[in-house]
Amino acid sequence: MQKYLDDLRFIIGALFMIFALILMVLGITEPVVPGKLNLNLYTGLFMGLFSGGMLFFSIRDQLKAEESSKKKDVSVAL
Amino acid sequence: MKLSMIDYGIIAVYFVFVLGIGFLLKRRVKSSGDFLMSGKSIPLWITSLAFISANLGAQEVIGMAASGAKYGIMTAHFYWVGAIPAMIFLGVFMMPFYYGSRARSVPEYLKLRFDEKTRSFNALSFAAMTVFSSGVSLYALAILLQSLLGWSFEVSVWLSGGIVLAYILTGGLTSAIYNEVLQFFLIVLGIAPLVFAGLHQVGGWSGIEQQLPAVMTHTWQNMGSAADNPMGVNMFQMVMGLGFVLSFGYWCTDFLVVQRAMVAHNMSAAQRTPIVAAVPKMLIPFIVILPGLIALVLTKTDGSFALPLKPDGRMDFDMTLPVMLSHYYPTGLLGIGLTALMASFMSGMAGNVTAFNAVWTYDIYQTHFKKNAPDKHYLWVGRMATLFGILLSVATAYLARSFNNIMDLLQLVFGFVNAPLFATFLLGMFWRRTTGHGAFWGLLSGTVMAAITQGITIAEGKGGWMLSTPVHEFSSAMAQAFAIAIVAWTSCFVITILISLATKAKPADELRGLVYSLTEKPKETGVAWYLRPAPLAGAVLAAVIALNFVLR
Repeated sequence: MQKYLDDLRFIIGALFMIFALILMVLGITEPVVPGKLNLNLYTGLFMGLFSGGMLFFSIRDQLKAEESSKKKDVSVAL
Repeated sequence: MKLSMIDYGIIAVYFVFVLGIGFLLKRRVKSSGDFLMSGKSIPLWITSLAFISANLGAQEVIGMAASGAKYGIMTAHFYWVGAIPAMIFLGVFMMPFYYGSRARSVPEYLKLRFDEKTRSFNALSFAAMTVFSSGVSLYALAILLQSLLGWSFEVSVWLSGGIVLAYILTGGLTSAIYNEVLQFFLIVLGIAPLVFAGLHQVGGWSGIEQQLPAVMTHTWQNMGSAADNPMGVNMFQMVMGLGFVLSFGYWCTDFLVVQRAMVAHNMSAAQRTPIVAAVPKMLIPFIVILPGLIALVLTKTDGSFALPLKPDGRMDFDMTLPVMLSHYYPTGLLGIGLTALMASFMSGMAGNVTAFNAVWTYDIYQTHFKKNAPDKHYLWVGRMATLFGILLSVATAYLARSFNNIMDLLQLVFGFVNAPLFATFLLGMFWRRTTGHGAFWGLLSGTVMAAITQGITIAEGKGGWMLSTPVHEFSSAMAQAFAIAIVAWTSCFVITILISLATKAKPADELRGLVYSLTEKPKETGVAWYLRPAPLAGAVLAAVIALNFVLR
């Protein structure tokens, strides 16, 4: 877990994912007012996309780094 | 404005993350270099966002919305004329000297290039200025929280100061930079929905153009004469005063922002930091200035919306953004919007404190008090400087509350010191004949000339303290500020040249890596254009020219 916490993208992704979930829940439970934007829902969806992207790239790069370090260990052992 | 438990919860989650970053980075801080310079290991995207975020403080977020309502889209000149060209110049021409000289701070570069007295003059004035700016940020935050949420001044000042202290003390500059990036996204994502909702209601940009006079929706068309636009400045004052002297003086020499590029992991990243930062910077006006224009349209067309009035009956433009947040944002988003505002204050404060502790430790303490102590000692001094800087900021916030006039005076004096600085750097980097004596006396003369210009002219009742009848009256305080900057810069430039010609220059061997003509240019063949500073700078410059043209 420490390596994820060292990556700023993971921290940003986690924070905005929490915010996105709160806003989406509030947006979904808000009564619909014709002609008025549901700002909580739209912002929550956008933040969700943004934070999802941040988390995806962070996790992908950590997994890649892990794999390449494993390969290195194997080649050193050989 | 009334917050619900959900809004308070959002603010609390944010502060848990802010403090958490400091504690996560604690184990990385082992030396003074780690604490004060991030070990020069930060990737480009982080240094770039921190570069603009260090400047994206309260004055910018709230002040630019206020200026948008007062002056219209002309306010974008502070970005497209008053920032981007200077950021590009810093990246292409000046970063090689800052980074290549291995100086740890801007004042230390002055020591390497000139002499100790020039460094000390810059270090002392910069240290005082950063503490003062940090205190003003804290004061503004406390006043805002007091007026919006009814929080007491004491609680706001000590709580905000305590949070900034905790995350800098634990994680050092890296923690401040990481938090600046977090704050950048929060400010953008927290305020952008306001612009979206506002534009939706007023009918987009064309709706704004229909409702407001043309002078509010054009950047250049009314700049022929100072009398034709609400800023009261003409094209020469704008381009020379803001676009050249003030802008280059701030973006190219202020250690607060330059420090973010100096901690990049290599020279190429350091050079590209301000250039990459220029891309979001040129788009920020759409987030911070548009709310001001939208507020004006709403005041005209929406009966349920009005900008608050000051006791003298004029509109209180400073309340534009808070009033817009409370008008549009429902529970939840309101918590995020307010957190974004608080983040902008803390971002400005943390930037100032981290610049202060580096300059205090390296340029004042290590130079004048204890030269050859073990590194652990300087790490301790850096931490103490952080604590000292925060306490001074708190004291400044209290001073601002009691004596507002003293704060105005201090701001003026620091403006005098800053205005001529770019002439010193320009000559120092591009003319090898410039000497330490020339630089020092040039800086002093520029400062004195700035004070004299302010003392013999008047604008909006300000200045003119030297004569019973001022020699000139400017159409606005902004025009006067630009004129003072031009006079200060010119006198520094001329005096530095004259004294340099009369004094002995350093030998060429001592100037390698510090002066353009004596520094080897890096060869970048076979590297993609977007990885090279010059072509990247060309693309950014073309984009900003296009923006100016579209909204001319």
